[in-house]
Amino acid sequence: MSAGTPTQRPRWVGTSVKRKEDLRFITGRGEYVDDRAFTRTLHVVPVRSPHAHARILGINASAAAALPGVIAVLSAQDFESEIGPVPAAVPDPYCRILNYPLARDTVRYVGEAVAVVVAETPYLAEDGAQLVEVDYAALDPMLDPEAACDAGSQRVHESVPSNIAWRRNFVYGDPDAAFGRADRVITRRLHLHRFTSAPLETRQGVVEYFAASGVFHVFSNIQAPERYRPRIAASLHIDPQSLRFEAPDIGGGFGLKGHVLWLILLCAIARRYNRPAKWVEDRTGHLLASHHSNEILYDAQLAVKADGTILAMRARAIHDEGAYLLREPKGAVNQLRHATSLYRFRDLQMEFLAVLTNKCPTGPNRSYGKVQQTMLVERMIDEAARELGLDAVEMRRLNLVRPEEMPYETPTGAMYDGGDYPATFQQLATLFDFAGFREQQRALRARGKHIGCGIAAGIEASPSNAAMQQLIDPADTTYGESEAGLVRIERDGSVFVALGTVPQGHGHETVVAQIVADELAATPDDVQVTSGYDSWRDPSTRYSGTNASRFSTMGVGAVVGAARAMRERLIRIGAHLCGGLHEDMTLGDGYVVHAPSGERFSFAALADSATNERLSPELNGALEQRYVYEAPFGPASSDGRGNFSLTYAYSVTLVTVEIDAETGRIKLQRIICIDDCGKRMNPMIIDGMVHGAIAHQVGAALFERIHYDAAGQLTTATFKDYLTPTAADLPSYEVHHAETPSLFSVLGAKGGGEGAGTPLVATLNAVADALAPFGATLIEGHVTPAEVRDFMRRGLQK
Amino acid sequence: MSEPVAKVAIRVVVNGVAHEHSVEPRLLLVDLLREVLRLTGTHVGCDTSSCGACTVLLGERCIKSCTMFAVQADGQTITTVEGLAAADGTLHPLQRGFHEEHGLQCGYCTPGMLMAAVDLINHNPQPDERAIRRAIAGNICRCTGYHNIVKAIQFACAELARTKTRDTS
Repeated sequence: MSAGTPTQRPRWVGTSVKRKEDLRFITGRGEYVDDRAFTRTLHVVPVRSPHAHARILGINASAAAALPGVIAVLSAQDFESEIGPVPAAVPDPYCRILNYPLARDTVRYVGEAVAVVVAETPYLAEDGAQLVEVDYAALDPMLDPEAACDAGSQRVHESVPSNIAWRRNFVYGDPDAAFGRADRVITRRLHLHRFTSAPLETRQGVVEYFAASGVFHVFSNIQAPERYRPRIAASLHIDPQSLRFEAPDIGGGFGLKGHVLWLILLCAIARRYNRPAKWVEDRTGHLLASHHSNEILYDAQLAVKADGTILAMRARAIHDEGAYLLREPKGAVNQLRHATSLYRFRDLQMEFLAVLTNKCPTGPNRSYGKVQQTMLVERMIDEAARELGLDAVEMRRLNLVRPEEMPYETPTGAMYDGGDYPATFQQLATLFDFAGFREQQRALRARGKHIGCGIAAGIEASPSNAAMQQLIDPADTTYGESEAGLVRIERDGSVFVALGTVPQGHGHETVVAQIVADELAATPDDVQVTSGYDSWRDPSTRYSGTNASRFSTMGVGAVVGAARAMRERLIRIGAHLCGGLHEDMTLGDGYVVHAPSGERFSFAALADSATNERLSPELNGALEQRYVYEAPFGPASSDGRGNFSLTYAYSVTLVTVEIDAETGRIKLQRIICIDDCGKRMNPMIIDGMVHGAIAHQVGAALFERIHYDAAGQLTTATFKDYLTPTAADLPSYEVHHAETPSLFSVLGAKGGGEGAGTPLVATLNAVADALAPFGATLIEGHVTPAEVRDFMRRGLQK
Repeated sequence: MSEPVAKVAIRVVVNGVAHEHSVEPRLLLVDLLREVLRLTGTHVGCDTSSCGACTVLLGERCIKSCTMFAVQADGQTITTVEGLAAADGTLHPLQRGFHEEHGLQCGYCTPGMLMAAVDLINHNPQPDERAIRRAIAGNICRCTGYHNIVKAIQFACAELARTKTRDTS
């Protein structure tokens, strides 16, 4: 046996190890941001705009300021010299759209923060906020993204020439020629509504400032602090390294936890008063003013042959971005990573318009850019199949990329890393009796009952190559993605692991322990993995954090690299100590063993030797190995092509529904999901994520819709109006798997578990299928019982 | 509003320990638990009694502690997630169920889910799936899609049934 080959022992990776995290959560001993007590804390509560669009004429804070326990009422002008803007990441002149924590002169959406009350307790801060009087001159709100595109329409930001903050037409192949060859062109308008994955823990933070050292201790549940470090430091005119980021347990993220502007504000308040400054967002604040998922109006065309072969797709996508651009239009270019989904067509045109309106800004939300592209592709295929009189499942199968074409380069330059899509569709056919369902559907229709089944497939690209920003701003030269890991053998021989990811319920402590246990021939119980994130403790890179499912590729790459370096180091020290050959050394049960003689050294003894004996310059020193894993990414090409992810997981979801003809109620019957996210490091954890994605995305189709009225008021600002599904609304799920290891990631795992929008679109397709006899065409991404009744009534009148 | 309000003396027994405090009449029960008694296992997720993250037992029944004033709990017995395991640390069958069946991810809804489930199985030890789903319909989870939470509660019911059989045989 050669060194470097682990001994024959069961592998932990691939097994459903129960989570190390659970004990603290099931006993009420998790620690979330709001759970840690700081002394002399100041509580910060915002005063929010009741107008969608208005000029701020004045702020009268005297009554609030007079309240005992209120320290101050602060607005933008109080931070004039302290807080600089975070500019929109779009080319000039639209980078002049500036983000500040508090509105300056003008409010541009309902819920925008105008001022903050700083007080001794949260109750007093709330009292104070009620007493702040803001004088507004209301302006007409711009709420319709199409009208906002018209030249001369009222501008959301007067600092820029129009409401179209960014637009680009991406053309791949020769779509015009392909449309010329089509037997039929299907044209549809589609609208994907706003929703939000609304983590149960809201966005929160406490900042403590240490005047002597100039250090800001930023204790928050932000998902990717290292990505935001430069922006926070630039805004506050401080050294980036003066920010110490710490995240404790996080109560769900889903992309929503990127409250960089709030952390900037808390830093400034903490420094001003030399006391910890704390903000805990309330649920209404979260729904009004965190961010919403990408809302898109599509005008789409699909060119098809009579047999169902897809030739090309064209779409104009108007992204209704809301009032500010903090990360957008990133969601738009995210769609291009997997624009052709699982299908073989090569000719594509997608034009994106990022349009400003007087609504809450949009941003990353679970399956960011993936839900949006799946809505387009998978609704269009179903519409095409209906027009052609084909079976929608068979039409998909006809167009799938074949396994022998892997790795497959898509027209946009994505390099798909393996997968057998036809086999997955075949697997679905064994799980669901399509012919039997159609027979039952016909029989029930004859009796006035309506059931439907729909499927949707989708790609989950992960992680994100920073080069995607080049599609937005060609002047940007950044590309790449990296993560850092550290493995240390403590003096007692125990194994300590830290990395730059920021888990929000993902089970990293467990999966990392499984991985390192395999590499060092130990057990997960032997491996201690840090919880949360602390930039003073954990290694990191500029990209560190947890977003875009990046753990499976980036976190894993970093930890495997560090653990393998540690393994090599232990073997070298052991070989040196016993005078054995490197290739005769092996690892097992906390020892390095010289196989021929049986002589062995415990990890503790090796740690002691490395620090207390003179071995050799390269063997001595702390038993600590760091590793930075870099994804092999390059820049984008000038024509908008590039490989912007390392792995491309995929899933197919089937949903069946029954419609109550009297009430329009849509009853979910079966939800079957087949998911291939490569090597399943902990199948139990993957399954759990798939369940969660199903609930979010079926929820978005049937329950969850962010809604503004004609005046720009948000009518869904509590969980009484924004309906997240409950256990009583949902069935059990039938989750199955394919497992095609990634050709490119370190352990073959792919970033997954985000759903790719397939549960959402499968639900829509199922409802459309049920309503087919009524001639209904679904345009929206969300359908309600009232709309179903309308469809049926109108259909019956025809 | 700015006039100081007289505090009210209350006495509550939380997880078997008696506490006496003078509190503002407007203090929410959840804030008594979290801020005064520092029992931070009970969480706040919505402020409108929709999400159930703040669920605790008041006497025998589960209630949402964000929608009740501390003074209303005067003289009563409260059990929070911290009081669910036995004094020797032995986990409650529901806690074991959540661990065994992966009934939690971020853990934020878990304490409330556990307390709602305690109420359910105390009153209906052998609920079917529909009864379980209805019993936790006042508790929102954004991670699990409820699938494994239902299984976790079923796990606990099965374990309790086995214990009972052993006790009676």
